[in-house]
Amino acid sequence: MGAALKFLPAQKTQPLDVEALFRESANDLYAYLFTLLRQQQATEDATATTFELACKRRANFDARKGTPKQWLFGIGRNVAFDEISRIKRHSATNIGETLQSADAERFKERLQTDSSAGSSDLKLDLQAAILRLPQDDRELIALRYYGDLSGAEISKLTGLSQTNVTTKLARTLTKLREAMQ
Amino acid sequence: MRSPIESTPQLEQLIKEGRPIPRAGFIDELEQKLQLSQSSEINDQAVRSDKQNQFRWFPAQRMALPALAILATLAVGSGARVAYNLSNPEDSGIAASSNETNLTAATSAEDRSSSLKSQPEIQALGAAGANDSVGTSEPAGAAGATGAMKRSASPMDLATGDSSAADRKQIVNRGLTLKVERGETSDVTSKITKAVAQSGGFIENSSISQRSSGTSRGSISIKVPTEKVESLIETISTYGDVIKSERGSYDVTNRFNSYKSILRDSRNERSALLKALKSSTSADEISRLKRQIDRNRMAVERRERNLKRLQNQLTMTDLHVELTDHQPKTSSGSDGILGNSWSAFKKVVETMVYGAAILLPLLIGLALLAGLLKLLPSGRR
Repeated sequence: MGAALKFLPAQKTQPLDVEALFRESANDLYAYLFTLLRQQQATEDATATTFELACKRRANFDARKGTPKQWLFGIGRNVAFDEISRIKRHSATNIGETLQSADAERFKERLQTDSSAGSSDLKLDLQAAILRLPQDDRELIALRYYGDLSGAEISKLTGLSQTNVTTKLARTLTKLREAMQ
Repeated sequence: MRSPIESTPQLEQLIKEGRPIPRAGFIDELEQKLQLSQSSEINDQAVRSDKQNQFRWFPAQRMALPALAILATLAVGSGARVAYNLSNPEDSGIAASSNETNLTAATSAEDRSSSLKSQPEIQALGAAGANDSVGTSEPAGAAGATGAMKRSASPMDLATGDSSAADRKQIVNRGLTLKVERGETSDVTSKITKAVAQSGGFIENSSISQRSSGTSRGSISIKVPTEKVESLIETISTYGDVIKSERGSYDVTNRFNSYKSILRDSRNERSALLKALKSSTSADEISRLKRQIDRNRMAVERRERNLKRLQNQLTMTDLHVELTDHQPKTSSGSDGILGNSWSAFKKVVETMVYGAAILLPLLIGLALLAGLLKLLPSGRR
């Protein structure tokens, strides 16, 4: 609780401490954006753009409307969707096919080296299964487990009702378990 | 061999553990970039708010009616200045009498209050702790003595006030233009070099150029310890006549404090990570913590470098000395607001004349065309 509140401004007029937010959420945001974009370079660009925008717009942050992390992920979401539209517009290949791309391969390699030997296959398969999910399901998984956002925060961010978020998440987890059997 | 996932919590745990992680160094690069964005953003915000305050009720007209605004301002300014000088000849700063010291003090006090009134944006920036650069330039003709120049405070000094002056971190740049006797430029340069060495500074670069007319110019860039700069300027001023003295200051209090707190946070983070490493048992956890500690070490080193660089900038002042052995031309023989008014007025008149020269033939042509058109129907009838 204390950690979550440390970058909250005392008043609405006081700008947000983006650096504290950065330290808290940079890795989470990266994981979320990677799950949406599935390309390393695009994810890095989107992460940088998100924090630049957060710096510029930090005066607009209103603590009454949501948590700083939710606000940041909202910016990241818009940036990622813009990037997805741009990739779709400029590239003939479907974004889903990028799973087979060199970026995804590199990601798999890194995952293999980073994980312990016993569980790496399982994590790898699970990650690949997540990346194969439809975009909406993938996003919910990323927001919940990578971004560590609550159901209410995800609901505000995506515009879905809280019940809908919970149901969809449960269904997605079932899908993943089936994919892993 | 694939292991089955037995329960949802296990699945959730595996999802969390298998999260994508950024490549090594990416977060550090981004952090560095973010710090830059933030500091420049502070500047942008301060400047933007100043501009908004300045032009809130005059947004479009400032582009549409520049000539009118210039004329009105200049007329009022010139009139007020002339009237003031006529009514208070002793306060104009030109009169030199036996009470010179008192008079300088009075003028300086007057300047102090008027500076504070006329520069609210500097006050605002000072209060906000935002970075700002302020420069002042003083022609030395009237006052002449360096002592008088030393007594006149810069706008930043005035804006910040005496109470916060001790805590304030400013990078100061000074400039001095000296008129020396003809043919003595190189001698004075070597004198300055000696004086700089005595004051513990060093010459960054220096150059002397000879012109075909026989005149010569010298330019010396000096780095000198901030506490010695005034005495050095005083010494250099004795080598010739001071034509111009400049002072620019750049407030870095906010940046300095920010660097210090970021460094402190990083060090705290390091000790927390080391503690966590001591108590961790699993191989996964240990390798993750080691990676974090490595990243943290690089961040701490980088931040220490940044802080050190800033401290170096604060301890050394840049002093630029220009030497000339002839009197440089002043703009149109008059100075201050009157000179500016006159040149601006000339520009406006010039624009009007050019406009008339373009528009007049057009108007005459139109008038002739109208006359012809008027004649044409009557001829048909």
